[in-house]
Amino acid sequence: MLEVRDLHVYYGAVHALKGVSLEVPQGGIVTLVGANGAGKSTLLKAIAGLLPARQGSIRLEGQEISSRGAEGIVAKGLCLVPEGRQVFGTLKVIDNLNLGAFLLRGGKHQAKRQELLDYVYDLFPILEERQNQYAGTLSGGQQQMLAIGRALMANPRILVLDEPSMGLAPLVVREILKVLGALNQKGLTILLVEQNARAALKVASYGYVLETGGMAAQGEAKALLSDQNILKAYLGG
Amino acid sequence: MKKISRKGLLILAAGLAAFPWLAKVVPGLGSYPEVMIYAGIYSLITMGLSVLVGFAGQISLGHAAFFGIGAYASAVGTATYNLDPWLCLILGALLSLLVALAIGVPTLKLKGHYLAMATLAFGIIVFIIFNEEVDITGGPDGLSRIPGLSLFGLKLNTTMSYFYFVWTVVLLVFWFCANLLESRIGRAFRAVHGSEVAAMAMGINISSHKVQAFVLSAVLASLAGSLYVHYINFINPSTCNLFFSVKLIIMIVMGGTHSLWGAILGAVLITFLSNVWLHAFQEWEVLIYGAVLLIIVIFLPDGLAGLPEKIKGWAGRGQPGKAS
Repeated sequence: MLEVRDLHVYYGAVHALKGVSLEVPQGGIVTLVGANGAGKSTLLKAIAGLLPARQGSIRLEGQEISSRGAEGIVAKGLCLVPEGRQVFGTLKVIDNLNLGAFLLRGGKHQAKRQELLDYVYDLFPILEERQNQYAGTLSGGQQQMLAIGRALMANPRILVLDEPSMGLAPLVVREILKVLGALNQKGLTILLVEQNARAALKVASYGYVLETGGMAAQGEAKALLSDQNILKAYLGG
Repeated sequence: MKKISRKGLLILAAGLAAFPWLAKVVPGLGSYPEVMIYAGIYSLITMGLSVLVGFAGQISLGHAAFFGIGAYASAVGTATYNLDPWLCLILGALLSLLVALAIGVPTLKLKGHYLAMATLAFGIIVFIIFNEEVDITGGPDGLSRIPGLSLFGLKLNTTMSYFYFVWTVVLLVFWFCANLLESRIGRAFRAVHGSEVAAMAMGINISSHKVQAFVLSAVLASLAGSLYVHYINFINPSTCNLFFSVKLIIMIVMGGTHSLWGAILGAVLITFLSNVWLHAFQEWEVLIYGAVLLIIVIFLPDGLAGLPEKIKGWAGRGQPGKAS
């Protein structure tokens, strides 16, 4: 479904991604792990169109998306849940969710928007309870649920998440990952970036390990988890 | 539109309708309706700035330039070329729109101090043009004998009629901006302010929304400029100098950038402070603005519009049983 080939990304003169390739199959749940500064967020930003790719290709269902810009990519059905949640704190929960459906404009999408909203509320009942509360007043876990819900409002076919476990209690992390598993069961394709590699590899079927701008390893999630060398070298024992 | 806003708007309209009569009856307030005309004109600019600064999260230190463009378009068009004032008002607004597009597209890529500096420089450039293009603008002497406005054959040449006219425009613009901010576009403005990364990830074109907010505020400033010259019948460059741009920012900060009510409140308060209440201080006036701004920024970061919430907070702290 998503295919990244030989991608090079620069921050000014800094060569952040040096020829990275990655594939996410239709209906799959793939994780990308690696240490701080390995380039995980850079890769996701390039995929979502927030950063320009200098070289290489990013294909979504066979179509090149690397030059479409963030708007076009969301419209094609790829939605990013950015790092650190980035909910709109001064807006109400319901307004945050409505912003997620920004590209589904006008009366003809009214029914679709309502359907998506019901779907998100069904997934995270706490958001419906707090729909008139300002997003900034939610707890960290609730904000992460809101960030995911907001991305789902764009009706994506592939959801890309940048460290959803960041700064959350272990119990909340487990809950979030469980929801991602359930979403995947319902047919949503997921690309999950995590520093919490163990947790991520448990929920994913396939994994990639990124190290200083290049792919260091890849394989079935179970195999990566049981490979002592990889665990020691990249995933902190 | 939100019901609360509509109710507030009705109360404001009623208060405004009664204001000139009140000013006549109460001794010492005779000049107040005239000052309120200026306050209304400035409110048009501050509401636009509130959308730009408070909601879309951008800054401009050059809005005096757009006020000047509107003012000079109306002045030159009517006094020099005898064109219809309403046509000139629209032409001025169109010119401001084009200039705002040309300036906004490159500068709104900048952030923080850099955006402030770029808009500041723009304001200064326009100010210099007004001074130097003597053949068109009359240079430092300015232009006089600018005719007044008339509406449906009715001459708006009295304080009373202009007061009602200006504040009707203010209420209409308020209604428009309030609706805009509650709409999809308004949410997008606030999203851009909240987090550009997240806004982009939602598929919001952030540069286009920044430019939209900038253009809206520029057109409103231009409209204010046109209304200003048709009332005072005179314009010179010093009306739209750098200090005016700064004063506009002081108005919205004082009133509260996150609120259209705050925009009006700030415009009214600063207009009265500088035209009536602080007149005795003369050049020391600027010092007092500085102090007021300092106090507001430190103690009332949400401006005067945030005062009710603050008072609630203080009251809550006073009653330990009620504290959450």
